[in-house]
Amino acid sequence: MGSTITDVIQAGTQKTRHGFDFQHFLVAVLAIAMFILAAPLLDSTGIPVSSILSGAIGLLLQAFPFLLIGILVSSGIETFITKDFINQHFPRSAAGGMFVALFLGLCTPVCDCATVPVFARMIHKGIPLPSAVVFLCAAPIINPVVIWSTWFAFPDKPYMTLLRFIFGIIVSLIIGLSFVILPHTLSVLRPLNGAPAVRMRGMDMPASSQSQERGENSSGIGALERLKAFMQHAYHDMFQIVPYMLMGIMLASCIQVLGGSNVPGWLQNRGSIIAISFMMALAFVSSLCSSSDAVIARGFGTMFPVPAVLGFLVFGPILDIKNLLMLRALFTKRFVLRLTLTTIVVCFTAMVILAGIMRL
Amino acid sequence: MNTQQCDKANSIDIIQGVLFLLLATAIAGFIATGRYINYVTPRTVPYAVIAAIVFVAFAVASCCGIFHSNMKALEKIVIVLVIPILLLVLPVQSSSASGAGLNRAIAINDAASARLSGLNEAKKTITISDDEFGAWYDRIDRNASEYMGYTIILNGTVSKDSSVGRNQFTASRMLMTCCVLDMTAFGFVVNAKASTMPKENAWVTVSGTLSKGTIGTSSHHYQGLLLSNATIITTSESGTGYFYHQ
Repeated sequence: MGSTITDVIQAGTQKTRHGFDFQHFLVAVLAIAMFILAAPLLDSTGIPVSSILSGAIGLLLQAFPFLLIGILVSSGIETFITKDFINQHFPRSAAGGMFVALFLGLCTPVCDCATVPVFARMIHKGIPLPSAVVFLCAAPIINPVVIWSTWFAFPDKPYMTLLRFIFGIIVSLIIGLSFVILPHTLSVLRPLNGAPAVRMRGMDMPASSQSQERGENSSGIGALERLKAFMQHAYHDMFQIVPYMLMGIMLASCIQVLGGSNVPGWLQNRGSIIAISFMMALAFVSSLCSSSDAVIARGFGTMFPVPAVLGFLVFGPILDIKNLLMLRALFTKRFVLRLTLTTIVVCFTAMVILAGIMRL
Repeated sequence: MNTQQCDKANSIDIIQGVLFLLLATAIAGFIATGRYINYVTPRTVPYAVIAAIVFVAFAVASCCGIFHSNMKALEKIVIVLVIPILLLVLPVQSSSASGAGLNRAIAINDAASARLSGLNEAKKTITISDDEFGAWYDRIDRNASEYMGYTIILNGTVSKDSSVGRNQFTASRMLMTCCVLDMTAFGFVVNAKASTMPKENAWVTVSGTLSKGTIGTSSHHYQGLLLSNATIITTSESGTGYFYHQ
């Protein structure tokens, strides 16, 4: 069922079920271009559109490369690692699996943008959910780049680096353990109905089943076919995640530009509970890269107690607006909700306990 | 059914391939022209280059018909490829960023920090040049006891936030950690008198003695480094650029 000239003509004239064709495509391109060009005019209405767009460009340039690295690693796992290999080599016990996931996190020098697609692929390849969750939570906190950047940001407070590392591990293991104690019985991966339809070996098929087939067949195909499968996985992941990432970027930029990053004076000296809540909320809306958030956190070091700053450093890499939307692109609403609530409760409780120990 | 037939690119594949190539070119142009400095630090450049190379690979794959996209993909192509291309290609510059002279990035690194100028150990003074503000700040912050009692002369912008007291301000410069959204003011807290307190955002030359003292208000304060007995002169000149850690 190859692509013929007729197919090509039909492809150009055919409409999607929403009626989106080439004319709509051109109109959309022009509308977006006009909106960007009109930003200085819109600024005069009091809405800082230029600043929001500038912030979005900054976040985009920062996040896109790391997301691509994550997507390429994820595609590599899908294309070159078989389920049999995972079955044979990955520990069968929950504890063993979670510690291997921690070790993988320690060896993966990428920020949080890259871990989401890798996490999805780990689950698809049959790695137990608790272990994959431990990787998702731990990798952006305990990897060497983050350890170095935290050390760099707190030269006079080396204990901050140690506390971030230790609490990164504790929080990740507890979140992972919650999925052992209360297993998530329903499917966690989202049906991929929204993915662009692509063909493998000349066959049109839904992206979800196609993904399965590519994964299962990848062990018995040649180098060229394998490379093609690798590119298709990467392409598919990119088109699945990037719309959500862009949405997260725009939201984070809007919140930061409109809300500002200065801490309101009335929030200081309100006790650890409020400080921890505020810093966790700030980490969520800021959507900072985990490899550089420590320098920002240092600025809050004089205003808030250690547990609050640590809450920012531990919670932010696991969950922020951008990550949440990227997770939603790949996982079911129920799973994302559970992961979100578990992460909030575990991080908050851990920091409150730390505040209690420090008698703050 | 042979693979060659299956891999024939359709019109959507070609459009998509061209857009992938445009995105790669837009990123390359952004770096080559130095426009990226307004948005991210030079540390991002290697990663952006990798991204551009990956997009070229996607462009080739798309034009070879590997993805077999159809009309359904058009909507997502607008979001995934067209929006980033337009953001990078069209002129977007916030007035605050252009006004702050953020078109120059000054690295703070250990190598530069090792050969800083302006130190006069005999007179116990440090005259900080505009481009060495970040490196000197880092060195003094990390080795405060070594420079305690020194007279420090520097230029900076007056910034006030809730962390400093009523008669205090920070003689600051801007620091970008990763991207324009995390741009923050950093610098030396200066003890001033009510009569000599300069206006916020003014560019000042400060000469003060490095000491340890109370920073903040009566309700919220901490012990930190500050410049006391300071002479403050408001000037019209201003240093350009922001600092970043290399």
